[in-house]
Amino acid sequence: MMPVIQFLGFTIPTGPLFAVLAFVLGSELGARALGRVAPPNQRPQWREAFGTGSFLALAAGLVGARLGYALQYLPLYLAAPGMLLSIRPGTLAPIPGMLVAGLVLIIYLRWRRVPLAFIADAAAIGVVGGLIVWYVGQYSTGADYGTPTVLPWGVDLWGTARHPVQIYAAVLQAAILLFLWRYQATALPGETFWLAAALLGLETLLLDAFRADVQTWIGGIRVGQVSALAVMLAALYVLSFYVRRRKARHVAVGSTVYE
Amino acid sequence: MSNRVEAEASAASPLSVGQWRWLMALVAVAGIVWILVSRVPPDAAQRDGATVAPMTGFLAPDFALTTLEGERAQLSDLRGSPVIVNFWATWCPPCRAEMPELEAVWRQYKDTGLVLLGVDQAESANVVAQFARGALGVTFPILLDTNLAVRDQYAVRALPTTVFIDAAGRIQDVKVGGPLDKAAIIDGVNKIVTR
Repeated sequence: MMPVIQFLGFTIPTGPLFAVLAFVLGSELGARALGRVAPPNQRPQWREAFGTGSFLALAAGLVGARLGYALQYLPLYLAAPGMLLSIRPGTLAPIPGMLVAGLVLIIYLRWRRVPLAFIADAAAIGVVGGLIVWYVGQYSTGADYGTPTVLPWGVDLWGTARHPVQIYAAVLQAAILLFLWRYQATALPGETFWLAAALLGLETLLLDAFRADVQTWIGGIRVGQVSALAVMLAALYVLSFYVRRRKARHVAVGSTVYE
Repeated sequence: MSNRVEAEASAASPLSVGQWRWLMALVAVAGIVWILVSRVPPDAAQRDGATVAPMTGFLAPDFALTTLEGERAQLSDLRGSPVIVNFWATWCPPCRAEMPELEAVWRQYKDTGLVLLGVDQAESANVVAQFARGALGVTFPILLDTNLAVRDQYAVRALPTTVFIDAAGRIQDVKVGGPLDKAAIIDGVNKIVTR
């Protein structure tokens, strides 16, 4: 574990540092992914739009996360509204934050006349790329630690060898990113997004089995795995329509090419 | 040329629609089996809860320190009561800012048996007493971590750090940084206090 690093006399917590790096990488990858599918005369504009949109989304997401947290303790914040300005990682609600960030990104890019399907594809690639760095950060801080193991690569954490599940996740994310990046070149609009959803669902379904700090239902069933399976099946269902579209286009175009 | 490019971009899927549906069914069955096979074992929480570590879900490291009033205080003696351990220092502005809120919440929850321990970082008793008892008027116990041994036990990297420990001695939350507002403190208290 390396929860802090010493740099030029400063003590820098690695958690927030990796979060910032994850955002920067995700934003850059998303911008490049969007640029690849843009009309040739729009490539620089679409890339710039995604970069700007992601920073706007970050700011909006922080506000949304703070307000989402404050809603849980509304009477306290109504009595002392100034407390809203005290932003710390533990006082941000992640789900409202992500929803607001996603909404702002979509609204901004639609205002810049980028089709929704392309936004979704680029955002998916950006998220997958950012998660690689995020999971490395989790490993650095010891968060999201794994279940005990006797395997030789187990990481000692407080006297027990545990699965380095954060590293497993980072490696899987990298593989998913490589696959999606190549696939996007021939994918239909929106198809990369749904493929990413299916693959991220698969990753969670597999790796949650090795995570120690998870929410469970009765019988020890992991909540994350159930959600992941549902997401996977929903994504596969939507992808089946892309299969039909590909078949229809192949038949139509094939007759034109080989006529 | 454009037709060839379009044909390549629209290359047929390797699976038919029917085969895709079978794939979905296979994924559903395999997923359910995997979920059932990889369930959390019943003793997992107990196992982690029996391991000492300064992390959520683990047993809080025990320590013994001297209070401002010269008495000895040991964390394990408080087993059976929910405990908040707040690492702070008089030179830390966010620590000073959150002290009144900590005092207020502690008074509010005292009837539940909640114990609040302020662990000062390597300062003299006079300096701490002048600030805590004099300037701020806080009344909860202040302990002196003179050689920073408890700070190291709890891997405290930033001040303030507030650790919420339940009655069984397990850490339920760690809040790093501050100043904690009342909502954040109550958020932690809710995890360790049962009304």
